[in-house]
Amino acid sequence: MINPDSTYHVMGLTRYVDDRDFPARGLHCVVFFSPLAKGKIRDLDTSAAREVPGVAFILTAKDIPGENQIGGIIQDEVLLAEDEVNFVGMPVAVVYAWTEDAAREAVGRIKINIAEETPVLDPREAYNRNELIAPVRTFTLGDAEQAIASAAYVAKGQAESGAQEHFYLEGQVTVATPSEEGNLHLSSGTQAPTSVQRCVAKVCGLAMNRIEVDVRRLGGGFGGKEIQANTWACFAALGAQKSGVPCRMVLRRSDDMPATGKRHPYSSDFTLALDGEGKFLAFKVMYYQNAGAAADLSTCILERTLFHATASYYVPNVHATAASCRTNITPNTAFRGFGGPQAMFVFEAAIREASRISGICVETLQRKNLLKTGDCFAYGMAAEDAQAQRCWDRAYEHYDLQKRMRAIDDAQRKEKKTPGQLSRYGRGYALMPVCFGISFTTIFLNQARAHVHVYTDGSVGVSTGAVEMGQGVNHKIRELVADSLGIAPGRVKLESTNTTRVSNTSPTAASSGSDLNGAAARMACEMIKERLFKFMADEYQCAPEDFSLRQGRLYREGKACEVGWEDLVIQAYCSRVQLSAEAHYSTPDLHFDKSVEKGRPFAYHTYGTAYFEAEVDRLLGTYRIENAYVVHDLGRSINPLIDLGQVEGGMVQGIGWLTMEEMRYDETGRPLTATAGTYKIPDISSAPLDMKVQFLEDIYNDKAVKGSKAVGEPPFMYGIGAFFAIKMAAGCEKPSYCAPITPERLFGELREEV
Amino acid sequence: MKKSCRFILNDKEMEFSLSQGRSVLDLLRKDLGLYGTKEGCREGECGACTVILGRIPLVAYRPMPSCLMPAGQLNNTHLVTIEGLQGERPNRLQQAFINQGATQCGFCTPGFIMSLTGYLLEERTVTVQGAVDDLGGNLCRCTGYGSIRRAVEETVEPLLGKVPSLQGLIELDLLPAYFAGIPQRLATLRRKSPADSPDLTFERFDGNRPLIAGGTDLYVQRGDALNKSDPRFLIPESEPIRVEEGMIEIPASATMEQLRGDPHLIDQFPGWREKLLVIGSHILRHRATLGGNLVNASPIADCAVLLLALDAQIQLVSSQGSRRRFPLREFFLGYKELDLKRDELVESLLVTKHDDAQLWNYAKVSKRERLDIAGCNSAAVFTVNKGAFASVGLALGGVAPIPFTARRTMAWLKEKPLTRETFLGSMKVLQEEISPIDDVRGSAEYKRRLASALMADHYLHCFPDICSYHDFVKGGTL
Repeated sequence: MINPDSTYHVMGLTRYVDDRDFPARGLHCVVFFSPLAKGKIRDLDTSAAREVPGVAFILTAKDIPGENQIGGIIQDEVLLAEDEVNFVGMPVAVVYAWTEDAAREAVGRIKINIAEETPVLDPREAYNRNELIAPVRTFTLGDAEQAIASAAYVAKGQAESGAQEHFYLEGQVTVATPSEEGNLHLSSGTQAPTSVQRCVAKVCGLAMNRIEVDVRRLGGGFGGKEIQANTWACFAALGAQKSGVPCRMVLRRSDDMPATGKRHPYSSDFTLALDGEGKFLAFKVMYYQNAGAAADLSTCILERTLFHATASYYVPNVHATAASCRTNITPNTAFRGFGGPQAMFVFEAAIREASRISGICVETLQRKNLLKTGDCFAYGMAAEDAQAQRCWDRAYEHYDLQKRMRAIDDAQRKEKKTPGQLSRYGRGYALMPVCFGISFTTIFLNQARAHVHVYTDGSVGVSTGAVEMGQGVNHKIRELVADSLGIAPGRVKLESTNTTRVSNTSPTAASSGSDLNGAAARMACEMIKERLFKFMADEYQCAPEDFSLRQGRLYREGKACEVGWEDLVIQAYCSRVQLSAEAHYSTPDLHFDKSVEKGRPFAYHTYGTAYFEAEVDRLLGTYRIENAYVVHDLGRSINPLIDLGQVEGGMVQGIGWLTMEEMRYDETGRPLTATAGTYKIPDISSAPLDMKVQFLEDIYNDKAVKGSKAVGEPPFMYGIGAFFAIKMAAGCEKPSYCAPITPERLFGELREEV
Repeated sequence: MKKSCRFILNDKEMEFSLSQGRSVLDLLRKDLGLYGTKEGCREGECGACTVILGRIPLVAYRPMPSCLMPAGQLNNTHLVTIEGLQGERPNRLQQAFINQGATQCGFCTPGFIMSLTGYLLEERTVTVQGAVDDLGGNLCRCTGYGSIRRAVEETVEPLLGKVPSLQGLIELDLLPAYFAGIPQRLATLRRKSPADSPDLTFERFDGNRPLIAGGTDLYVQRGDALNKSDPRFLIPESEPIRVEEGMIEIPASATMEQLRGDPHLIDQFPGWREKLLVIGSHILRHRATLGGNLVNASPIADCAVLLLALDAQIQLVSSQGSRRRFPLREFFLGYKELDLKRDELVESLLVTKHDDAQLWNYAKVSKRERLDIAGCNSAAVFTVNKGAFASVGLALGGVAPIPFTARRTMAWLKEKPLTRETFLGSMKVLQEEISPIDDVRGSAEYKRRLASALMADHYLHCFPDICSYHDFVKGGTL
């Protein structure tokens, strides 16, 4: 069945948070941000701003009734600056006015005097100054040093990957409405309703039960609204609490981009050792993560970087160290892949370097070392039911890769042999295998609840902790519930995500939305079915197990009964059978011991392989990704159309990260590309023209709901292949693993060759 | 100051008094509660706020970003928002998006639907590539565009190779039936108030009021102030491009899309339409005017560079009605400094009409190929006589404080033989006369080398038999 949300989307009927009439007796808030990256506030002058007609009040740190603290994991981030600023875009004051225009005008009149200090922008420099968010962590397996000492080839190098702006189309938004008792209702664009609830409660000095957070849907999230929705929700809440009227906080793009965190830039040193045949012997790596000015989710993201240090490969000896370094840019945050992409980029760079020094072709190195079932990761878990080699081999076979690659190799060889025939346009290819662990690595988050109501007409309402942000989680749950109850999906309605209906929700993140919430919804359905079957068993004088529900009918021992779903429901209701259920799901068998950095942090892994071809114009340094062919393992797909969209969409986002998306800061820490005009995400003509995706169709994953696998994040990392296809097409001999490979950078690399 | 404005919004005649400078996006969302049009960036970069504007009989329907449109320009128009396509159920195009899963979070979707509907309404021959090209101004962060391409293919399939008519689109369930009556209703509207704009620019001069044409630069630079302003207007695409006395006369109000679609220019400059695809996006090219692009005086202005290479003349008109005409290259005096007096306006640009096709090239390098400001751009026009250059027009953006005419290089090339050595030599001359600086678009060093590369691109494009890429690599000029 097709996702019914799409009908509203295409007709423009879908309502996002700001798509409602806002009352005239309501306040609009606009934030005054720090213009400097580091310094002590000498003076903040809001007097002229207060004079602007229509301004109700202005809040600064001292006006916060609760705690001025929004740190998620580590309590190191103030909501509003107190006596110092730590990054450009740090909120300093909030203007509340009866019109948005007045609020904006007032913000323009706020004056700040800061004793400017020299900011730290480079994570390595921060590391050297011991500016760390948390103690450095190291994952080890075997003895890397010894293996390196005895290796035939040792590849060493440095890899850099840049920040990435989420560019969700709907900016950060919350509307807060106070009730007569002084409770607050928040309509928020957040991936983590409970996180908003907890944070607002703390800042407002209220108990959590007085804060109700409701989320209908987001216009895109990608991790950018996992924890970073909190700030803006707090501003709306503070205004509503103080004024007693509704308060609207909508970040404009021009405020959203400079003020919100990005994907973490990483700078890394790697050593990859191999034997004479190209078997990987050891991998040693040091990751310097640019966390920005506060912890945010950096430590968790860093942890996932360590989990994915060896990407899709088996390496028997590993020494991976990671430091989260405090700098003076926006606190960086979750973004699809959550540290995994940064790790995999480093490892793929190491493979290229290994190929360069050993002369063994990249694909041979990749294929030879792909994970097999039973191979142990550095964190102590063994790969179960590994599909890395199958996806790889299937890609070769299905897309005739051998032939495609040979054609490009031949052209390159010919070019090298005949000097004087250097071609302006070069083609290149790259394969990118992905293995991604599924589960929150913070183990307690792997829980979800669902509430299912069956109404007396047989229609069904479902509430879960999952937030719909375009990934189709609501529709997947709808199909799971409909399947479980044997009714048409059209009979099932997904309610908004609301903290009063489903409490203590985990963020919709880590690709786990449908795994966790879908499983909980199915469990709730099973509870209702059990009661219905027991009721019918009493009526028919038989065993409850004899019954099943299919196609809107009750079946007894495989034969259709006269009783339809609607009859069954109303009869059960009249016999006082409970037709609602709440179920709780927690992923089994997860554990991790940080003291030894070993355990079983993931329920399972998902696998896949992507193949890219790129063409480079060596004269101008421009390029085009022409083909992207994927074989992806997502178990038994709940909805192939949704899953295809996740694979294609994730992949193109990944391509963007490593190609045109460039977040630049000047030497004072001011972002230079934090506008829609200067920061470029892929458009329709820069996405690969020829995209093909094939799913492994015969996998049943018994670790997730109905044999499925999570799909949100893994395809993002395919984009890494596009980077290396461009590099091959450019034909630069000199090793450089620096992303994003913007036309400017590629142009420079090409010229160094000449 | 509020003024009355009369237009048709979807199926309804509207007349109300409003701030002339208020953006149509704010008018729709904040004043009228039409929430189907989304605010994504207020810069015309994302396309989430795309609407379709119909002006009949002068022009047909055009999709454009509503965030950069002043409401005062709506007089006598038909403004179509996503709500205006609505029947009881999704139409054929909307259904194709549903079928292909071409909508995920949904926030960009109304914009895509409007752009594609606009494409079908533009009275051009329908092709898949054309439709995809016209979606260049609509960003989607969720889908990766695969499903959107498939939805485009599904939608245009019955129309391929045809020029759809309003009636045809209604019959194919791509437009609601009320569109059939709009031309008549617009004619009635125009009878009541003949002027498209309550303040025609050239007639009532008032230098204190901002002058807005397409608004594509102004609303990005100071949208909040303009929202409250009482501007004068130069209505985009309000006049045709004409040929008179051997000159192609392009009015200042000509949009970049009008320029791109002009048959004279297309004939004179082979590949014109394709090469100009890298300028802005389809929806922006329907707003951005030539006059605006020139007076914004950006050193990287795409159209300025193009017209400089074409050796265009600029014609100015003063409030007294006196006119000045001189070479465009003399118009740019210094960074953001123009030879334009306070009471003067750009009236038109003039390009010499040639009967035969010219040797020319236009190239631009930016992070994203389309809808991005260039690191460097360049245009060149060559005429050749007996194996030597008879004349050369060469201009570059991003290498000087102004859109730069490479006069020394042009002079040096004149009468030089068409040889590799000439080509390589010219690049040295070019290097001596440019002076790029470091900025967010690229370092000075990058732009310096890019200038040579663009020059090589011109030669490779225009004289492929005389030079090869290898010559330039070997020649060490890159």
